[in-house]
Amino acid sequence: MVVHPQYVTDAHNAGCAAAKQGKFVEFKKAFWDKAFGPYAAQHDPSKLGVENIMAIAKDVGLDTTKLKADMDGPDCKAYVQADMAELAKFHVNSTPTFFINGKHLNGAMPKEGFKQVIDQQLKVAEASGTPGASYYEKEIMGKGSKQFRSKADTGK
Amino acid sequence: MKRLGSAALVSLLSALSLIACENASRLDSSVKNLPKEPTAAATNDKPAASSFKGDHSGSVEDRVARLEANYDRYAEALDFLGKVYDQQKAQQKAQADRAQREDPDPDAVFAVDVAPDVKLGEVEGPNSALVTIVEAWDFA
Repeated sequence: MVVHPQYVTDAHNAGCAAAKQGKFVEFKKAFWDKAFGPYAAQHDPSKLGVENIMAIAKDVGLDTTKLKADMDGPDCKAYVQADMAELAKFHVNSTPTFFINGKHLNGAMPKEGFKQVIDQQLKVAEASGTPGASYYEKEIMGKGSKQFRSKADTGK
Repeated sequence: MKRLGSAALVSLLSALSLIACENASRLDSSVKNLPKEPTAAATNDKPAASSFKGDHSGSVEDRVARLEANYDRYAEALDFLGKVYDQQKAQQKAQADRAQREDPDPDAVFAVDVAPDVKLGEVEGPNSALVTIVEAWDFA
């Protein structure tokens, strides 16, 4: 989700392009360490720019020529836009926001809070008897709400 | 007989005025009977910030007149405070209503489509996992 498009649109496009080379996780971790970290420490937006993205991509073994082409191509731009549109359906307008098996959690919270929700959802999933590979598709996508629903909508 | 009647009336008025005097002194005594605030020496605290004492002198009429004058003096301020209070209550209600409209239903299961992300490979962990965490994050 792009909350600061002036700074990180390139980075999100690069994430998509890295995924096309099967190295999204590696790129994401390296970007946090070598781009966001210095940016946050020095308040220097250039750390999030294309030059640093390319240096990081090279470090994690990405084909930088292909990466740049994919970053600038229509697929990754459409993908990032589609991701944002999907989150907008659920009124996600800040980061971080999480959905744990469809349960909405807004903002940062202690690890223990996440563990509690994850354990709770794991119990529900285990009790369903649905295999993991199809659980999200069947139970969450199949039965969940396809759009935002507020407390007021349910009269709570 | 008429004179006698007039005299009787005067006596009655005198008696009433005496009662009025009695009323004034009752008011004084009720003020006097109020519990006294502890003195600084008794409590070992600092003296009260304000040493303001109301003017309790004069007749009942004088004192009521002073109260009414004070009320008139503070009426505008009280009216203003009342409006501010109403405004704050309205803002609190609007905030609560907005939260009701904007806060997600805690019991809802939201079907966020992750198929494009899985297809592209913007995903971590095995596809056999029973719990899927969707992260909405930004690189900045």
